[in-house]
Amino acid sequence: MSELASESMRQGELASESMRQGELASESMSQGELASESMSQGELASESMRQGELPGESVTQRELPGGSRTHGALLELRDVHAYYGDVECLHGIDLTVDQGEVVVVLGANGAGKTTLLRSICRLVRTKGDITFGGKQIGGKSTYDVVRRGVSMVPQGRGTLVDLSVDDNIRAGGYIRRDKEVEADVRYWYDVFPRLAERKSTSGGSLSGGEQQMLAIARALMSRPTLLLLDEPSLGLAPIVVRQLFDVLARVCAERSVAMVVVEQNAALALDMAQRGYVLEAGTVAVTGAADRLRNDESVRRAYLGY
Amino acid sequence: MVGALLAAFSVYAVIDGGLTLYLQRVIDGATNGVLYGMVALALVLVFKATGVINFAQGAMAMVGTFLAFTAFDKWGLPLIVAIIVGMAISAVAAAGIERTLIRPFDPSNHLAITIVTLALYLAFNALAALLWGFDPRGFPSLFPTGSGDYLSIAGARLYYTNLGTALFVGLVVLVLHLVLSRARLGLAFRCVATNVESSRLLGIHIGRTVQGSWAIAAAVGTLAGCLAAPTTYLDPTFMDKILVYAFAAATLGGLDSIAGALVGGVVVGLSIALLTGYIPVLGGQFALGCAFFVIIAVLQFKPSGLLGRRTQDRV
Ligand SMILES: Nc1ncnc2c1ncn2[C@@H]1O[C@H](COP(=O)(O)OP(=O)(O)OP(=O)(O)O)[C@@H](O)[C@H]1O
Ligand SMILES: [Mg+2]
Repeated sequence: MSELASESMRQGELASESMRQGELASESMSQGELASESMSQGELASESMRQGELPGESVTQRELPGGSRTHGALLELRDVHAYYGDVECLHGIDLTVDQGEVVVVLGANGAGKTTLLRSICRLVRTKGDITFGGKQIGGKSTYDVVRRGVSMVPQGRGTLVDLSVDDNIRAGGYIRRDKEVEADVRYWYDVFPRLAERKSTSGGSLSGGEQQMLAIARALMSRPTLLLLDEPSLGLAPIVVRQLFDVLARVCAERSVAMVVVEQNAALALDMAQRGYVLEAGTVAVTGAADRLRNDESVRRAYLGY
Repeated sequence: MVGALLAAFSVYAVIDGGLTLYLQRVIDGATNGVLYGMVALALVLVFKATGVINFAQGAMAMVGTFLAFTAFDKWGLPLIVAIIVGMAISAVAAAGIERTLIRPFDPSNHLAITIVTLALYLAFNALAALLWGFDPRGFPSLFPTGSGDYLSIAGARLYYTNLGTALFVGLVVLVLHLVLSRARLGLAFRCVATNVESSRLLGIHIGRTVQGSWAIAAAVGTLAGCLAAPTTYLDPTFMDKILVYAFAAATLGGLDSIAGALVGGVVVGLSIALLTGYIPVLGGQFALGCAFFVIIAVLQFKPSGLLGRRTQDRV
């Protein structure tokens, strides 16, 4: 099928990108301290160094079994700090996401979950290494990162309220110039018939749930390899949330799209995810496989409520 | 409401001065009005993309009109070609201005950008005075302007110039509509006008989109200048009054509505023609006061204008 063809085109792109990794390695070597440090020392060593940097921090990072891989990950954050003006809001985050993997990010209000996603898609100033598809994107703009295959559903859905539903979806494919855009638009109308019915009404007049469907369709219209979702269930009826997550899981599996999902609905998100991170005050407090997190005493008490 | 007022006033006017005079004033007012609307449209294009009023819009159009005049007068190009050349140079220059003087500022710092546009207004006035002086020049019309070149409607004269101006404005609106609804730049423009951060996340280059709107606005402004100049004469200040009327038109239309800008322009043009024509105490000098009154009244009583967006964004 044609859809598949272009899918494999993308993968080819990725492959050729990783071919150039040799180039990249030397590039990051010249970046000095951080890169060479993590290259010369074992993971554990650098891990403990970082913990040493955070005296007085009440939580020390615990790594549960089934934690991150370090090689060939699609997305890799190493000691990422994020800033709003002069205020630092993330204090050295390490995070990896493999190709096609679903990763959940939990955390209290203000923990820095949104900031983490904004760091990845370059909407906030950061320090530290962020690599995507083997390439350093830490210094890139959102414009570049989106073209490399990152897409985000922002908190609050980011609906283009004055544009019609149809234009909202088409705007999602803005960066594409291939011939399958039309087919993709039809595909999303099949997935969300509700949107097809309201095609020509303005995006702003949709209900919250409909806008969330629209946001997901819009974000996936660019055919990303990594989808960032910021609280997709916010304000939605449980049944709608179920449906949305089912669609997300299905589509992302079909197209092997990796996802980072920020969620308050921890039980649901952990069901879908392979791994998870718990953020506390701008640092990773706990990380590990989803089922381990689900059974972890403190995570259960704080986020699952039993 | 505005329509009802105009209608009531029209009845009075017809009774007072006869149908022919009334129609003549409507024709003149509407013709001026579509020109105000066209400049208002340029203002709205930039406002929608940036949230800022470009106070230099009129001065840029003035310089563009001088360039067209130079292309016609000095380089000997046919008038229509000269106007197109003027529009093209304006567009390129506006793109350059956006890149060098506007983009370096934080786009959310509207005050700073507004002040830059005020500085640009002064700079363009000085530049024009330096290059072309203050002697008013006759600007040729694209349309036949002989004393017999009009259609008679119940005794009122609809000159071909009136018709031609309306035709050009219609053409501009049509082209703009097609660009906005069909072209990639149009989609990007509408996205940026609605939600900058979402636009960024879609991979839209905000700077280039804003630049595009500056360029198109400048070209539209220059065309309006070239259409207005034959009746006003060309000098470095000839767009100043028109810009004030355009502000009134854009405010009345709702500032973020392209259709509203045009409707606003026509309403302002008609109001000025009828009020100053039929209320002798007001006289010709009241025209500017009239525009001022419109701006204040709209801002006070209906800030969203006639066709502006009223609804709050949902979150
Ligand atoms: N635009 C901003 N300017 C300044 N500080 C900000 C800004 N946005 C967020 N912050 C701060 O950064 C910290 C992390 O915010 P963030 O939005 O990432 O939290 P969150 O985990 O997404 O919270 P929530 O669950 O409420 O969405 C907070 O302390 C917040 O006050
Ligand atoms: Mg958040």
